[in-house]
Amino acid sequence: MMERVYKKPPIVEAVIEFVFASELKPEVLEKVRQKFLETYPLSTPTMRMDVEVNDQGAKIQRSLQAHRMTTKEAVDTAVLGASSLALIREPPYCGWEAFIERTRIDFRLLQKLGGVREISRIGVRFVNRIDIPIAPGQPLFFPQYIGIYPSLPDIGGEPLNSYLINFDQPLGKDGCKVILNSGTASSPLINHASLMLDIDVIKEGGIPRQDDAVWALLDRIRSYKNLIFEKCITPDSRALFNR
Amino acid sequence: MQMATKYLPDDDHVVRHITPNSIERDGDQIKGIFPQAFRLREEEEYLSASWLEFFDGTKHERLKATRAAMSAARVVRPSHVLAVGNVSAVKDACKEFGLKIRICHEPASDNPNPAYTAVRRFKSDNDQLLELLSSESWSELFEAKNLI
Amino acid sequence: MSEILQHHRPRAIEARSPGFHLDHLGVGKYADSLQSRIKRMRLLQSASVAELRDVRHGASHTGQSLADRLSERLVVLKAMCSKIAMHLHPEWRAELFRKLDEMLNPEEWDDEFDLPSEKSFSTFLRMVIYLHPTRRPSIGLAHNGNFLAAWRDGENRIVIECLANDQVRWILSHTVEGDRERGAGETQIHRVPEVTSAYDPESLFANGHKILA
Repeated sequence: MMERVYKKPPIVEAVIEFVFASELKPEVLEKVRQKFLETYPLSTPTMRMDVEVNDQGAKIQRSLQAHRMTTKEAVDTAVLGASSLALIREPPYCGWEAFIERTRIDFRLLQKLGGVREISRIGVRFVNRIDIPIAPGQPLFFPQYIGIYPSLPDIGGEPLNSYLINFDQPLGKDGCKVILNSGTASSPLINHASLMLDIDVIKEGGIPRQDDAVWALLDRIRSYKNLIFEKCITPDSRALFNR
Repeated sequence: MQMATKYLPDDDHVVRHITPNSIERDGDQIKGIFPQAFRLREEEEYLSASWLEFFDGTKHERLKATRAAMSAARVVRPSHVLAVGNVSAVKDACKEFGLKIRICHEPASDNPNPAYTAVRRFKSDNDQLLELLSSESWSELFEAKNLI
Repeated sequence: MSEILQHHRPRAIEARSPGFHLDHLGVGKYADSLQSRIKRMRLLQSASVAELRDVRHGASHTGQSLADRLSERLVVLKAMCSKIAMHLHPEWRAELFRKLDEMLNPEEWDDEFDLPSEKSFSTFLRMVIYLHPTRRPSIGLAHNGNFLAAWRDGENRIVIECLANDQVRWILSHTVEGDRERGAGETQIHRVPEVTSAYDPESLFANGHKILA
């Protein structure tokens, strides 16, 4: 399928994620983090909090989950965990070629410092936000802009305030599945309504070990994601992306 | 210790120190200053300024001396601007909005700026007054980098 | 028809909150909030119970150097831009970032100013996109940290101070038939065209320079 290029792609987050079968030791993780600081100088630890409540009170346990590392322009982020690496790009989207190239560089750096590890899960996730101009108080007919929406019985009453749909479906290609979320979202623009379309195509297990095969798989996963995206949007939403 | 104060003559000029946040620029060109440069901060009871004619010499020499005097009391960088206004024009502008201000030379032994001046009985809650000051009455601008 | 969705008044652009992100490795803020909603949906928990996440990482502002605070605020403001970057012309976005870099440069920072306000910046961004001017504004900062935007045509100008929650204070001065006229007021962004219409502000906002794609 020929790739479409939009003047204003609705992407609010593009993510490529690797989950590894084994963990890095804390000192190795820190060594990798120090090297990543050269590209992503703003680093914040992401903590996990577990809360246990019993009749003796509440106990909170904190542990390091990952390091969230960002460039000074706040557009590119690497989330570095003991058993994972995710690269995130926020708007303005740089295009797939630039995004995958950056991913290759960071992935190879991680391998160089942390050793080659089996990848247990790989994924490409694009979160899109469709911003629709609409006058205040005017109802929005969302099927006009998106192909995924709730099918509801007529229970009377007022129009919806919000909805959220989530599904998980095997694609039958490369052993991948899609996790799709779609629903209403707060619009950052005045006199607009926004709909979110979050497409996450992942493969768990059976990930090739050879470098070239991993990148080829990612390219295919991205093409599956694109196909799903194009099937989920409408001519009216495409027109918005090219305004 | 506060020394004796005096009102500035109407023909003389007051100078206000303007930092980059308050400078209206179009690229590298200075177009003006934002009216908010004349807004009193919460803790301020009067507007701070300097008296241009406290110093002798040509206008340029006076401005240089003013910049130097201000620098003794606060940081004045080359990217900053001095805004000059005629005393009478400033008073008239404030009067248009019901304010009878007093522009007083107030040197103090603990203030290294001997030309320090206070614009008293000034209120900055009327945006139109601030606009009038920033665009007309107190709007002659000189870049600090040219006054070194 | 139940497909029709009622539109509510949009909210401000939310600033990124640095700090804890529970259980959401490898995702950004939008994906994070979506996953939380799904989680709550599945566990049938209320938002207040499920959201044990708005806790900032240990470092507080106490003891944080000025340079660090400025740097952190700069990142937050740039991250806010990214939320609507697709609606900003790339050149304008680059210019805005340059201005933010200058404004928050520790070597030039004026201690008499409060840090630039995120809420004000949200209003500023939403205003720029809503008004869709073809002339780029001059950008400044009030002592209280509110963003200022000025559009000028010769001696005529409008200055808009951006408050929180889409509220703005506008000041306009222009010459009409040789007389100087001034106006000022406070309103919501979407009302600015109407409340300033008596002053014919179009010439202030219009130019050959495009700021939006």
